[in-house]
Amino acid sequence: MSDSKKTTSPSAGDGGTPVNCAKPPCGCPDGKLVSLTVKSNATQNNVTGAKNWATVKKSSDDVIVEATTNPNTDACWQAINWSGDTGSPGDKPNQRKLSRSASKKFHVQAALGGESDYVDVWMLWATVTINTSGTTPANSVQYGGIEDGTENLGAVTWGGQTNGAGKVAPVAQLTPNGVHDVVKAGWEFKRHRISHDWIDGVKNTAANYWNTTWQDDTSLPRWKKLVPDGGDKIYDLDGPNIFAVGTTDAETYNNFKQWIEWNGDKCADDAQWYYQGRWQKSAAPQVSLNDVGTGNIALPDKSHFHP
Amino acid sequence: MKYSKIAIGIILFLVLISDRDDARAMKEGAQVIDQQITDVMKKLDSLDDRSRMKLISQVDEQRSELLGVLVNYLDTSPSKNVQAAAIYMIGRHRLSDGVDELMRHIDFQSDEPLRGALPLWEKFPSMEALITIGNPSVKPCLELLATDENDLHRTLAVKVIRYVESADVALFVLQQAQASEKDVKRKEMLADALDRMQKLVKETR
Repeated sequence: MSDSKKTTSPSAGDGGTPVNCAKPPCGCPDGKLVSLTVKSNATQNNVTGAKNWATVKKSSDDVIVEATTNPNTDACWQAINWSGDTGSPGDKPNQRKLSRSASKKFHVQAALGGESDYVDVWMLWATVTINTSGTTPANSVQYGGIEDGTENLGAVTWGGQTNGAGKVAPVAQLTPNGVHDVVKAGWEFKRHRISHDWIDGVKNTAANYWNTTWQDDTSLPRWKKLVPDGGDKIYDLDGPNIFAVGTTDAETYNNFKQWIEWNGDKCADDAQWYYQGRWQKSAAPQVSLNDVGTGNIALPDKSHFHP
Repeated sequence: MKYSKIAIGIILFLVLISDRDDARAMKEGAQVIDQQITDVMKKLDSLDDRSRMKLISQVDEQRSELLGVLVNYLDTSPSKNVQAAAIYMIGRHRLSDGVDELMRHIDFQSDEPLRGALPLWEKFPSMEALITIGNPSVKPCLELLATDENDLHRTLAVKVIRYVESADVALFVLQQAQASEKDVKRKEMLADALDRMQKLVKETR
């Protein structure tokens, strides 16, 4: 390389002070890379692999990756050769900023003086689907012998329509692809509900089933599969029901919303669904309304049987 | 350190708080379990092979002791909630040595199912526990179906076999048991069980 064709170190121009010299690393003749790590906004808690870091997708708070050199000087930082998904320049030349705005895996590599290191940063997200038809997914917990005794999803009745339930199988597709190998723990499948229930025409406030605000309704652990399967999916199961809870009649109207959290941070948009059912002892069949579906409904303010 | 005693203590703690909605206590319990497991795992590499195997084998002692404690609660507790919890935990931990106890309590009925999210158990927790334990439950259920005339017992035993196996395998198991039975009375009882199974499979396939 001739003197007339000066080289600019890879980070120059997009981060630190531009350094022109004949043969990089300029001002850092014996410098070596010591390590590359994540300085902020990602974690290794519940992450497998020494080089893997993860965080939840977000529009702010970029992940900061930082290299350490020996000597750990500005001149050596300028000489670092960044490669892979290098993001944008950080506040210092030994740092890179990775945007969290999309769910993807960043492979960031740094090299200096014959030494190199890398980190993989996973920007996590989940898309929740509420399955209300077909059968329980194979990798989900199965209903087994409970409720109608089948794996059929949707509105089911049994016992000559004396009981009804809305069986759903919420499934979360995690991203980026392959996340199941790296982020095996820390997932939670959350659910909130608002219910308007009447038993014999009386609002079921005592059991907290007549609400004006969202209530935690997250499934018990036995109904969830929270370790991602090979298809990067985690699973929940629910089946709100209507049956002989009153002397003469019972009605239930419920809106649900479900989402995913990772390490306590929200990691999905809400997926909404509803269930409504009516039971009347003297009617034939006893269960006259048994309806489940996606989205939320307008919850009635008056009892159907006792308007 | 007596890890098995600690484990039993933890289980008892969980049983005792099972009637309460005490999220904080549950969290603290989980932290204690985490710490105990971490302590054991850290210790493993500092032990020789024999000691390591002995320490790991304590899990078998724990399971045996746990079953003993749970069966004791099942037999003596005046609380239906505690009895149901004991049954649930025998099933959840797949303590197959407890199958006979569960068979003995196969018609145990828990309180009314809760409104809301799916509960840990429904009306017949022993039946559910036997299903969870799986294959070791099938033979005792076949024996019950060959000998026990109680209608509810028979209905529940048929359900256990139906949900341990797939529908077709459950039918096959009963067909084989009935076909190979020599005793006339037992053969009749198994024929009745097969009829029940056919109806159940038809309803639930």
